[in-house]
Amino acid sequence: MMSGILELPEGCIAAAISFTSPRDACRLACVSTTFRSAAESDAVWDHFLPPEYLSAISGSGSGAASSSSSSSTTTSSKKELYLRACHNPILINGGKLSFWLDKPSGKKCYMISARELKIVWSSTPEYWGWISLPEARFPEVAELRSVCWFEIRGEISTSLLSPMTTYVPYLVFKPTEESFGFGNNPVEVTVGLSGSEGQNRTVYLDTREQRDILFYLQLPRRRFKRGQASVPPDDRGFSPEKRGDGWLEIELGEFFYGGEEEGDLSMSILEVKRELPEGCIAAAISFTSPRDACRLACVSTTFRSAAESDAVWDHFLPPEYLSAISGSGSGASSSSSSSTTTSSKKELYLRACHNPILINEGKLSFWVDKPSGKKCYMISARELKIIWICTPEYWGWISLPEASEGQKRTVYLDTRRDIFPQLPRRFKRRQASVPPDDRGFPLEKRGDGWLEIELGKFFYGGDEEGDLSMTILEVKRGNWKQGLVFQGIEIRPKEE
Amino acid sequence: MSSSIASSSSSSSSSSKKEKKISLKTSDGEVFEVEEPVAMQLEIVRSFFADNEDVTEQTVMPLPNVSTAAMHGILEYCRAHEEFRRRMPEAAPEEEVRAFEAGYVDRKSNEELKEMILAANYLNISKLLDFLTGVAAKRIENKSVEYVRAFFGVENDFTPEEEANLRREYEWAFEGVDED
Repeated sequence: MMSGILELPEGCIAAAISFTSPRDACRLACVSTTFRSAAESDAVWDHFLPPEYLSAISGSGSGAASSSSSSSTTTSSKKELYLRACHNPILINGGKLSFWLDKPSGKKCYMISARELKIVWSSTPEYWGWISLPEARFPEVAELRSVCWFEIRGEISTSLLSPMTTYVPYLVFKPTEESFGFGNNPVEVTVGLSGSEGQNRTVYLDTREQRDILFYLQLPRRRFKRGQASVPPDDRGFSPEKRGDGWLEIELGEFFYGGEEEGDLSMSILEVKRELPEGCIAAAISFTSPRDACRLACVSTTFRSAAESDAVWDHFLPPEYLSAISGSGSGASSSSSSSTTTSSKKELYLRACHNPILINEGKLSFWVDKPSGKKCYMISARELKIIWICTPEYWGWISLPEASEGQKRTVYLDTRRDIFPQLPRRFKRRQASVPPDDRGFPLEKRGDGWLEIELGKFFYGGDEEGDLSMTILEVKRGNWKQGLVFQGIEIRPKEE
Repeated sequence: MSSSIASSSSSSSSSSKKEKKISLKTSDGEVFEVEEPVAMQLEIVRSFFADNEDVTEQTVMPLPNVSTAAMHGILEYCRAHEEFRRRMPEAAPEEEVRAFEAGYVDRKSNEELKEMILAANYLNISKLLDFLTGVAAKRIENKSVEYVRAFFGVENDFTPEEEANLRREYEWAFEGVDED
């Protein structure tokens, strides 16, 4: 009944077999003598041999490496030639690539020479050297001597690949006697078309066997759910495997080439940075001061991003400021308090420093000390207890336009005819022999055009309850004095 | 004080047969047998066991991002806090906690501190992470940019122009920093 196919001419059988794979052909050779004859025919194996291989070994100028009888091409059978193409890689493209065929499938395989890879620091002889090894396919291989940053990249044009094929790139290497430093340091490997994101994962180049079971946390989380937690699920490819030729290889990923994708397939092997994540940096910065944060922004781009993040500046902004500007009734300085939500916390912070707002029904002016983020106040003159204040002949209330922005409502007090305020006692003592402007407690000119005089220091630890009080009294009663305007008493942190 | 620690630790060791231990494996392959309440301070461990009903006591949980050295430091901290909690469940003895934390961190180099922050972040121990970032903050306060780069092993990835512009923008933050 089955005899029909046996009667097919050998040529037809060969044509059919040539559409299968080399592996199928070898199996089909066992069917019958006719099949064997067909399956071993040049017609079939010529079909399996990529034309690039034939042109590479015929063109003597292309640097075919396996010297073994490239001249005998014409005399040996195509099947022998195919097997040679599988077992004896040849050098092509001026020695940049090693080229052979995958025996079962006949697909094209390549190894990119180390010289063709982009190896960071490879031109520095202290870090990387070029040596010859008898067991290598290329005249030179790269030896890692000592390097603090490990990075290797390689590319191959997709036009060289066999279509409809899933390719798996491997990094081929072997450890030397002095090998160390890869045990705890994962490397990230990436495979993909140049310019695309590619797929990446983390592997270890360390060869210790215990590695094998350690990395399944890198795999998708569902693997846990299958109850394999104590068993390494498919750990293939996350640590190096021993090859038949004595080298080790580590899988870099997978790439399916359909035949249409143009460009280069690129592969990279990079050390994984052990840098702190931005979140941790931001957490640390939020424990420093605004001044530190601004300086730390200059460390690196990650630091800058962390140092300018809302998380950090939110930490620096006193909650009282936020509630003061959100409560509209509290007399927030008119300047765009509505934009609070849209601006960054850092912008808000800077506004809090540069634009004091009135709080407590205008009794206090409130702002934030820029370098430290500490709260600062100025007590309005109306809130000060001033002797004789109720006597208009002695004290008056006036309005001045040069008040800081948004504070036009503030009232200032004018000493028409009152006693000169007494400066702190220390001041007085020193003043006795030395003019105050030279040392001690001079009157200082402020940026806003007013004058100020330091009244003393007070350290607030956080537990002290009660009021901080300040007094300015004349030492001796006596002569009449006049002509000063008092804006208020300002309280701000001591400059470091 | 020391007697109370000794007695409680001896009582805990006598009851250790009943006490559940959890096996954690670090990146370099060392397995730590950790008392359950201590291990549960590691959020990643807690959620692993909460999410996976089929894991057993024999399960060894791998922690590929944590080195053995960092693990020792982390367990020292978590065990101390578990001990404080056990002795005073209501409120931690603040002074003792502060004394422990001060001594604990004094012995850590900058590199160790960084490794510990990475590990605490990965293991998701918020209390320890807060503490360690606070310590890191103290060590970089008022320090030069160059010092901080060396401290964290950070590469300067600004272009010279970018860095110059930034330094100009933040000029006021550079006055009077500590000598390196």
